[in-house]
Amino acid sequence: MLRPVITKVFRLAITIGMIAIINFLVIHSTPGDAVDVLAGEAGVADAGYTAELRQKFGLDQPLPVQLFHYMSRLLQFDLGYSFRHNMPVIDLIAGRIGPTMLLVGTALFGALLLGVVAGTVAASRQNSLLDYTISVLALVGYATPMFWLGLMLVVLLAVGGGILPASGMTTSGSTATGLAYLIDVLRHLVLPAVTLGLFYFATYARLARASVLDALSQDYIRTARSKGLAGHTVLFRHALRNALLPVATMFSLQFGAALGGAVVVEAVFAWPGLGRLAFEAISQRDYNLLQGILFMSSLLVIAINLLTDFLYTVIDPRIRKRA
Amino acid sequence: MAQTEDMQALLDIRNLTVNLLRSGAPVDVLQDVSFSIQAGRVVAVVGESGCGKSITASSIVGLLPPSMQIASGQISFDGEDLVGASERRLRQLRAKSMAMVFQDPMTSLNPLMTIGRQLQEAAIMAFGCSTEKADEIALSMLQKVGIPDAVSRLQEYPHSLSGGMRQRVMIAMALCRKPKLLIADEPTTALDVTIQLQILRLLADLQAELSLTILIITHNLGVVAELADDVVVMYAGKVVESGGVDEILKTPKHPYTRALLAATPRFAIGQPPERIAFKEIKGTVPELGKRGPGCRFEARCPASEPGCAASAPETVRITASHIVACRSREMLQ
Ligand SMILES: Nc1ncnc2c1ncn2[C@@H]1O[C@H](COP(=O)(O)OP(=O)(O)OP(=O)(O)O)[C@@H](O)[C@H]1O
Ligand SMILES: [Mg+2]
Repeated sequence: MLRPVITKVFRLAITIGMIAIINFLVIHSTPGDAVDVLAGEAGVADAGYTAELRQKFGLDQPLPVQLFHYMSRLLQFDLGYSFRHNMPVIDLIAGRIGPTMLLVGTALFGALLLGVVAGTVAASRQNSLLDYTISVLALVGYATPMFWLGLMLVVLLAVGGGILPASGMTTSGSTATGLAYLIDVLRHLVLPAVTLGLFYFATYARLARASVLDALSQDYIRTARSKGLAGHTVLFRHALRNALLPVATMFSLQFGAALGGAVVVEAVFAWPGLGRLAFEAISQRDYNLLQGILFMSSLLVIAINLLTDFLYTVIDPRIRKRA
Repeated sequence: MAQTEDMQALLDIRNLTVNLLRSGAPVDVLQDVSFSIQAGRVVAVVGESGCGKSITASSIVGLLPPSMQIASGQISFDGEDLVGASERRLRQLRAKSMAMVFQDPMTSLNPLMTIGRQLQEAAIMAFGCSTEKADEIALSMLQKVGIPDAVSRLQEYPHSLSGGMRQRVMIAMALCRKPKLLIADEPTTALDVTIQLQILRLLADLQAELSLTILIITHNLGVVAELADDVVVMYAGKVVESGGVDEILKTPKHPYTRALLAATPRFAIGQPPERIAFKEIKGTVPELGKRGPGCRFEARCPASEPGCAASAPETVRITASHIVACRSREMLQ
């Protein structure tokens, strides 16, 4: 009982360690370092001054030593300091992770829910007009570039009609609290969440349709029908649960990609999340911050994957047995 | 097959024709299929793969694939017409009066539901009873089909059971609704030989005990000999011969039935198998849509005569129960 848990934790620790190392190496393989940026901006190119700074930040040490320091700081959950923002990286991330989770969560769960409904409806009315309509819509959603969709939505709904806000998470200058605040945030959430979610909606709708159709052709469905169950009972009780397994897998695989997509969407809609922070960190060459964001994002993806694995064992008894 | 003509059959199929709708003209999958089953008897339907045995069964329970439909003919079950019956009524009949057991027990149970739940579902559909009552029925049925440790099996999922055990579960599920008719579509084909025998014994025992009426579909003439009272031989969507089990196995009239019997290996103890001659049937069943107007076995028939290819043979009644569709007088002697 305990053994698999220990193996799992051990494997997890190794994964996280590898991610940290790769993170570190990628960032350090880029030309220049934080001191170059600071010195360049201060207009001081004095070699003595930069050497002093490097020594102060430990950047003069050989790479393995720096890696060692980085890793030991990580173990204490110290992600370093952002000189740009004059704040510890962890505090910056803590302030931004909420909006990102709100955006990505709304987009993905909304896409999942609507996609499964649309796919199931399409499958249960295979080759009907409704099926064709859903399939075409899904195909369009699948093929539409995210940034283009975002810009179109802004043009159509925000600039033209002024129906929905297209920038930020709250109305600037607003002091609303309670319900009014919530409504304000939700209104701001609509466009970025739709922009980010459409692609995933299309993916889930297509996948759900295919896997419901597949499930409906299985022998156990024939058994269920031969018991005299009504069509909708067969669909919901017998086919849908089986059909959800591949969708769940896809969901967990795509979470990381959706975090990546959030970078674009947050930039387009000035959404105050991790993605925009990362975007700024790149353009400002704020290496500590970027490294911290990458690391935290990896942890998020791992957490979601663990959660899906767990959900899988709840849904599927065959896996429960193996685990 | 009516042993006594005046008795009303539980199931009576008359001139059933089923079409497959596809682009272009519909093609027949079944043509003029007729046979009947008296209550309490076991009827075996035999024939090569693709002859329409499963489609016949699906027509009876109203579960034809969406691409097929009954073009003409009657199916009457317990005096009730099934061809014109509403979907609702057919569902009711499936829930209460007609049960099916399928070929592959490995895939016929829902992998995400416990055995108990799947049995319970069938009992509730049949009797509209409470879940407690349904569980009781499920448990007693599992014990009846010889599943050891039935109480704990109820909690288990299909994957933890062997093929033989799963087929027992399928049989329990079929029988827990006390059906008037049990349709078993190749119930042993997917199982090991030793397990096949066990399942057949079980079916035979249950049939005797509960005086079940069974329609069993099979490739295996051993199964026929073991279990059946009457036999229907199908070829390419048609019934070519039907009769009592002795009539079919001992005095087969149709060249196809004879070929089928000759193609069945018979092993006698103490004799090397190769000593016993058995012949494969050359050629294959003609495909759907490539079936001419004449006798469908003509191309493979050792006794074919001029004229066989041109028009379909008439059905000849040899005895009260024995019917054959062949024009060769010589054969019919
Ligand atoms: N869903 C379907 N769609 C189209 N054609 C089908 C379908 N199911 C069966 N058929 C065709 O109908 C014919 C009769 O099939 P059926 O399943 O009744 O054969 P069978 O006698 O049961 O064969 P087997 O012994 O292999 O089970 C075959 O030609 C088969 O290809
Ligand atoms: Mg079949």
